[in-house]
Amino acid sequence: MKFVVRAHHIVSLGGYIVERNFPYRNIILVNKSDEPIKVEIPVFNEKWIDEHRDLGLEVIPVGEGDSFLSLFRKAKADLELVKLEN
Amino acid sequence: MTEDKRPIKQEIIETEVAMGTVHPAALEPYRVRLFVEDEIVRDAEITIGVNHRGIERIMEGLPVEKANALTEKVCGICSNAHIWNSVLTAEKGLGIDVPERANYIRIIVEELERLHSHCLYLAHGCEVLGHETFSMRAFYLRETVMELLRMIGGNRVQYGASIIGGVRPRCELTEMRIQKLAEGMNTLEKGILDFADRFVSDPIVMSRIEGIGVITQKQAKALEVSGPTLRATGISQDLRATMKEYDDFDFNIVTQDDGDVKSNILMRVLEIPETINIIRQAIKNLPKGPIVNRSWEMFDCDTIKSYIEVPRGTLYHSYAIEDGRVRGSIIRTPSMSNIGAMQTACIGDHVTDAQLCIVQCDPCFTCTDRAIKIIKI
Repeated sequence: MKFVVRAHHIVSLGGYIVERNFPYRNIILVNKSDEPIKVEIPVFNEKWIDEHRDLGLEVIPVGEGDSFLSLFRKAKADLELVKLEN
Repeated sequence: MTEDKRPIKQEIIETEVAMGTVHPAALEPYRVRLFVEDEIVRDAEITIGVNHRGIERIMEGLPVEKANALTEKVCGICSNAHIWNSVLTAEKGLGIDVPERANYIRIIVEELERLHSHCLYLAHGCEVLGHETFSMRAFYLRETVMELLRMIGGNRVQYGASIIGGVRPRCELTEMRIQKLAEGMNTLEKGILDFADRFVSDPIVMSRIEGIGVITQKQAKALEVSGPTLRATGISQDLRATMKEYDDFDFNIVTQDDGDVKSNILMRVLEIPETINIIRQAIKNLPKGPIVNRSWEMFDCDTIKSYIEVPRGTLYHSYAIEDGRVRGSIIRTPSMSNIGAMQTACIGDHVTDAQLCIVQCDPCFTCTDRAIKIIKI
């Protein structure tokens, strides 16, 4: 199944992870490109991260000890810069 | 007469049939692409992500009680399951004991919700099947349950029964309510057995659903399918068997063998009497005493996880508590795992059966589609 990440958008994939064999709690996806990118969900394993980085997405895994909000804010600020440049 | 020397070549043109994002055959916004060859579906792609509601984002930083109440808005069908699991998450983290009577009332509400969800599934399934009479009969049966839920919670959709430490006082079960519940269960049992009898003995219906949309055990395991859709493939897995809340109840885990539309429909039909049985046990052995424990304290907790079995499968809630507020909430609905099976179920079947193959997995896209989209922090 696919999920669309629109151009210049940031989403969190927490509810789309089947975490049985997955070490991260959440994933932040940033699409800095001008095109919508389709991602494969649910997320089952770590291989997914590299496969989707290859599609041009910025993939930020959120571990148990990480602060989701700080990582999200940082990624969001970076995305805003990219948007301004465009 | 000149001989035609052109080679005889049967061209098979691959056709794409696209449905959605909004389509009359689908109740919710999702896009299906069916790659069809000779009217047989060779590949399928389902896309969601058009219905961002950001409930986890709204929950961020809310007081735990308010966040719990908000989770009920995730789903309009299994609303109680969400608030129950969210409350269980907080109770697990804070080490709160729930009075036995409250636990029984929670189970009664949850099982009533299972009944109405299964009846809705049957109604929706029959409608897609093209059998409106069966569909209306299933809706008529569901009405009995909806009225009982309204009696307990005050509403037909959002009951707000569970709170941290127990259930709300308005959900207390009086003698009159218990009597009505018992009568409702008798009516429903009679109705569902009659429905099942007529459904199974209808050769046209059975020929339409037998061997269609098969999901094998291997595929179900690989796709992490859960709930009745998994049990319809013959795997006896039900989280209720491991939940301590259900320790006092005896029930059988219903399974079916074939993993097709027929098995999925019969799975829900046969689960209804088992659910009625649980409600009857709860009414009969309802403990006396308080329904809420208010002597608890709030403190900070690391990420807490909770899994429960809801009508459609395994529901996952997780959050941490910081200064009495929710942090990093994650909700995974059972449809998240099950809609992976829908693509698989479509493949190899006729294009006219595709919608039936999707519906057999009991999808709920709206409650699944909650990825966070933040415009301004």
